[in-house]
Amino acid sequence: MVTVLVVDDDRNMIRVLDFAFQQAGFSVMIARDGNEGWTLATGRPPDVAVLDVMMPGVHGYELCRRLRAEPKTEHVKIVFLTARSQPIDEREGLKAGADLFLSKPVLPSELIQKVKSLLTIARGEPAPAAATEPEAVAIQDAVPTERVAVARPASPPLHPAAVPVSGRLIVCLGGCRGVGVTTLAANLAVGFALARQAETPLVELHSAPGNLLAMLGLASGPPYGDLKATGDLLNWDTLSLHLMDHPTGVRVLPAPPAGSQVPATMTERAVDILRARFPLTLADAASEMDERVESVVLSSDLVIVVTTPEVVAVRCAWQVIQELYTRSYPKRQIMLVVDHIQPQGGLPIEQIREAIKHPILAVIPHHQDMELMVDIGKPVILTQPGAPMSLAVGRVVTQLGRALGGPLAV
Amino acid sequence: MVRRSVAGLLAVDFFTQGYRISGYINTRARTVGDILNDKLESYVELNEVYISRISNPGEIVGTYPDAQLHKNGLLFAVVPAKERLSKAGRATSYFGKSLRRVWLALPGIEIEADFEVTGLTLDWKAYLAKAVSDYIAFVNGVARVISSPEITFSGEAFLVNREHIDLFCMEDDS
Repeated sequence: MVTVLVVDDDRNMIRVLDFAFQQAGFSVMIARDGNEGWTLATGRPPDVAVLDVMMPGVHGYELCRRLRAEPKTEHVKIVFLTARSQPIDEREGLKAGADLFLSKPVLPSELIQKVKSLLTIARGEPAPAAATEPEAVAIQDAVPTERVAVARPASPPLHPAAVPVSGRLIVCLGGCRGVGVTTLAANLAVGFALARQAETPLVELHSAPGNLLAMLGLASGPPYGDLKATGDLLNWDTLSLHLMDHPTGVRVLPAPPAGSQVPATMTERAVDILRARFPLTLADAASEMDERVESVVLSSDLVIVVTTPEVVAVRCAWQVIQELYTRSYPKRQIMLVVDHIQPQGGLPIEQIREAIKHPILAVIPHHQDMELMVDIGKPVILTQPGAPMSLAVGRVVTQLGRALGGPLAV
Repeated sequence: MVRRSVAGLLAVDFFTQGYRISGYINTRARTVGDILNDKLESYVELNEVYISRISNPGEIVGTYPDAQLHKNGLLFAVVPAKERLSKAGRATSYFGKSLRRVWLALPGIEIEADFEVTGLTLDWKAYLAKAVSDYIAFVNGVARVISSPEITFSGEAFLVNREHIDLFCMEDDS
């Protein structure tokens, strides 16, 4: 079991982190000041230490330096979690030897996700199994923190350096085909772009092009997978040439052609580049959870699992959600949407909720033009903004924006 | 740097000409703006202070459980946006508020920020010379150390000591 040492003089903070880490499957040690933290760390070296800076006695920077200098604890992964959050503080923290510097306030689930990423990269092992994620308790106001670059294993020459990721990522995923993931993703992207009056990338995370471009009335262009053949570096300058622009501000990165064998790392880097550039990126993962999609999904901020009310689809959605739990993806970041692609029939919502045992974010009503989107080349949210389906999508946009918080709240 | 602990203490960064002082202030249901503008008190009482030199504001050179900060020597404080206002009331105007970009020179520090103008116009000279409050609130600010311009401080709101503003520049509102 992975051991985390939390060193903070704030009793509230300790209580929240103790509970959150334990629920996530960590063994937790608590220290209320730097001296106690030093004693505990040298007595039983943890795998990771989460340190405040402003503590009586030995402050966080000094404790970090000591841990790094001590052979017994030099391997410990150190994360600063502090309200002292000026740029100079981050430099000081990293200079003292920290692996990660986070500013308060931060959601416990986000902290745990970053700690797990740190441990996974350090060890090259799968992340520790997680217990059921508790309802996230935001510490103070739930303003998301800055993101810190987490370098993926190098894969030259396409990935010369890790990309600092700062933007949010929402992935739309279905348990099986035909549940309306692409339709929802297209409508959500347009909804966000219009609501925020900002460019919103939408990545087609399929192994081959689907209907996304057609639904938005866009023509395909040279696939970004060609960069692999030419040996060009994948960066913003090269990637931006492959984005298809919709008048609403949605910028689509289409899937590479079938059989082009674009490596997973290339897709990951493309997504990272977009996240570094835009505050919000959406992805249409359809019903695929291969290595490429899984990596992107696990690094996302929210996953929308789409199902229809049919038994088979509900079962598939349940499996997807269980798969995400197994991968330690935070429960609170999984959003379940029931999509009525048929005009009638299917299981009642209460039965779906009971079967999947996960809250339902929204129910999208059927719309007769849904199937014509591919032919019309316009999403329903544009053609009929007053339709029940469009209004439901609009509510989802608002709820997702609120969940992400900050400037993304619409 | 801002946080409110359970005990009602607020962590704030204060800046004098020589030092960055991070400490907890007991606001007692007032705002930091109220406390700094309280003419009956010359000092601000701080708990758990962490002192850094302005030339190297990341390094902590001293920590003390209690301190008294003299308001005269304080250049500015970085606070959450809501702490810049007075608890007693909010200035309102039929014409609403607008933001004007300003640039301030203080001893050893330059600040670029937005000033909230209430109403259509503002007589700057009268405001700077005759305003009742000792500390002026600015939002979206960035402060830069003159001797080391790569050292910056930012925050939701700055409370700047009017007495230490050597130069006050304002962009055109057109």
